[in-house]
Amino acid sequence: MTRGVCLIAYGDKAKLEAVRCTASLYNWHDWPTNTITSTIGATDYNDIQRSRWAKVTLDRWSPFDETLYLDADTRVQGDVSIGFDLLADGWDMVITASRQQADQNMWHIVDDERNETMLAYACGEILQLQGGVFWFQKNAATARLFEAWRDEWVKWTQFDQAALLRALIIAPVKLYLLGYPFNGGALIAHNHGRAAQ
Amino acid sequence: MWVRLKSLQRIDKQGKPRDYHPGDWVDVGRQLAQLWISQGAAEIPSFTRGSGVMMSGAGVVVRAPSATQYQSMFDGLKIGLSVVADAPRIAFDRTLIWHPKAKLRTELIVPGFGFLETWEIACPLYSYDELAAHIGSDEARARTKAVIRDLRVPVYDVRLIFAKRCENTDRLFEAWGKEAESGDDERLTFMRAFYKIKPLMLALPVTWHSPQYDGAA
Repeated sequence: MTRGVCLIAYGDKAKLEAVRCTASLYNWHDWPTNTITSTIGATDYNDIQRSRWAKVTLDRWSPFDETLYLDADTRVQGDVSIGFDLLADGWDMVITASRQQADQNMWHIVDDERNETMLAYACGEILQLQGGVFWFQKNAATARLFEAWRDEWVKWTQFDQAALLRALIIAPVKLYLLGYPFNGGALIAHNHGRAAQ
Repeated sequence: MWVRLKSLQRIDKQGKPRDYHPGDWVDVGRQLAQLWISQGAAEIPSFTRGSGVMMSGAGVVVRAPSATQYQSMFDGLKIGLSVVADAPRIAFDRTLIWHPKAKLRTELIVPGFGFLETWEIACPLYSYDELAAHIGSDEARARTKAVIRDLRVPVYDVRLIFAKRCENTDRLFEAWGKEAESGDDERLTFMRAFYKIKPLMLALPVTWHSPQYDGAA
């Protein structure tokens, strides 16, 4: 069973952020890392779209059985091995909930895609998940989830979070939620968007 | 309250009027939302798959000495829900287990049952900020950490649970019952049972029990 960390970096700023993120990780862990910088699949996407396509194809290119995915603009500030421990205990995926809920839910998603996502749930009050930090293990359930995530993402080719919510309807997994310290908190800081600036 | 428009509406957002079109989802005050729904100007769609049959075998377990005083709340939905008073248990094929101390938003009952077409259980988070590490006694937290490994996790508001009758949820409620014998905070005992059984859970936002929640803290 191999464990490692994957990052995505398209463009000079993202590559610099990935280096800084990896350096922060190495302060705490010696897990192997794999930062993808080359295009996967479609070549007509811009850097942001390429990075999101890379995220929704993680299960294909991650060399690890168990993967921690980190946005390049995150910084590891403590021991985050608990994510792998949770996978070992049988959870398929580990992620944090977004604190952007209520009328802030999916605020960054274009109207059409947000409408489609809420319609898929037949409900507007659904929990937005943070897509910038998550752990997953390769198995049949997550293979189905990533396949569905890709199918949903290509419909708008923009942000990945709403596509993930729709994918979870098609392919639900054993999902475990961590608290805010693990994304945008004390353990993993998140400088949202810095890699794309 | 999120509703799906069936008509053109002009809504002020941050002081600026904006036109919303049929099919758009908008978050508006409860009274306005209910007015629109009553006028046919907006809707909360029933779940897109299996909505016609999903209410058969559905019911409510009210965690109270008697369900009598709550019956009318559910009758008003006109979806034929059976209602009983009992401790938490899966009394129906699709069961809403509700403690009257939690605000019940009746407009979310149909979507809640609808989620059970996909998930085995659906439950709102208690809080984004108050984690397992902040709840219960030292002893209860120690017992919980021994099972779930890390207390820096959100817990579920177990006063509002939608559960489908299946092997996993049967085992979950059995395990929860055993954990509850400790007398620990029920949010922690539920986490221990949830962690052991690992049912397919749909976590819901805190607005399901705290509609006043106003976004990022």
